[in-house]
Amino acid sequence: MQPIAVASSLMLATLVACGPQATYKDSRGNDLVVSLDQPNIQDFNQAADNLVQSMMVSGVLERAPRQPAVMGISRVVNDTSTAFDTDQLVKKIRVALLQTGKIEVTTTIGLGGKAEDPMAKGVQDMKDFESGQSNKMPDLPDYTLTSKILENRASAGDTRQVSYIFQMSLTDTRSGRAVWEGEETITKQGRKNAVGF
Amino acid sequence: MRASILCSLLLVACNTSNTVVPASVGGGPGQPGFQQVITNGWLNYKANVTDVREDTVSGDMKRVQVAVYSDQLNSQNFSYRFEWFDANGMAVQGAGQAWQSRQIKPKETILLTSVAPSPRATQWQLKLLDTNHPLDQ
Repeated sequence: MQPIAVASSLMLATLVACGPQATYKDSRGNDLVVSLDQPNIQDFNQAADNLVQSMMVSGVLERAPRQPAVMGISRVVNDTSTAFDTDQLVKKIRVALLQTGKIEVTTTIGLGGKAEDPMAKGVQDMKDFESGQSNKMPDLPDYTLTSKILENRASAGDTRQVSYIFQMSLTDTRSGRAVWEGEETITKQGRKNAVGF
Repeated sequence: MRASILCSLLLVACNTSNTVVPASVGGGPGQPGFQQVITNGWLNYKANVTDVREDTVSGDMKRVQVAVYSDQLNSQNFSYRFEWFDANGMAVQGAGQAWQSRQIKPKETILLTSVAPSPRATQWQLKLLDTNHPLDQ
């Protein structure tokens, strides 16, 4: 073998034998692990990005009764085979929506009457009591957000395919009707997990 | 053997990104024109920007749509990311800023869209990157 070929082979062999060491990655980068057995961080990123953009394009928030409108987080269902905290999706949605300046999220009114932030709820109640407004109507949300995450699996020979379906509905609490709905499907296919996409 | 080693090294070494920005002199209403910074010629063959359009959604949020054409005879994959900036050129983080992967069929034109994360975000750039599986090759 030529010296250059030997050197190149040795370099490649070294790279393969050592394997990658643990390192930090950009969580929004394109060199992350792609898994066929669970949703990855980039799947949540992409779903949240596209759902928020869909909501903005719909123009539904332009028709809100006030600006910024107030939104409450309702039921979020993880119907996949993987147990994960649905805030991986919902928090991204909330952050992105808040950044638009067109909507604010209530943390004192939650599903089942439970406040997401009990301290904020307590302080709010105390302020209302001290100002003699204990009986006033609470600041009810103009919209509620519900979400469901589904999974669909298929295979052909050695090739596996998994789809994660992110569904979301925004309901106008005045009418009780959904005024925006979005669905984002992320499909991954392959024989094994990989790095990079 | 030598050729395959050199090809592997070249593929890994040359995966640089191409960048698209709106041109300072517009091409017409809603069509700002565009400039491309090409550092990866191969990527430009399979993801060549041919058109850029802009409009406004939800009252005051800029939306951009970029047409991408593949000159290849096989299906190709690439990644892209829109980045947004305010009037002072400061980055505005938010929705639409994660790398996403797309497949493009032979001689196909696809559309990439992004909505500004905030009304403050008035400038954008698009980065294109070749799909890369360094540990899966």
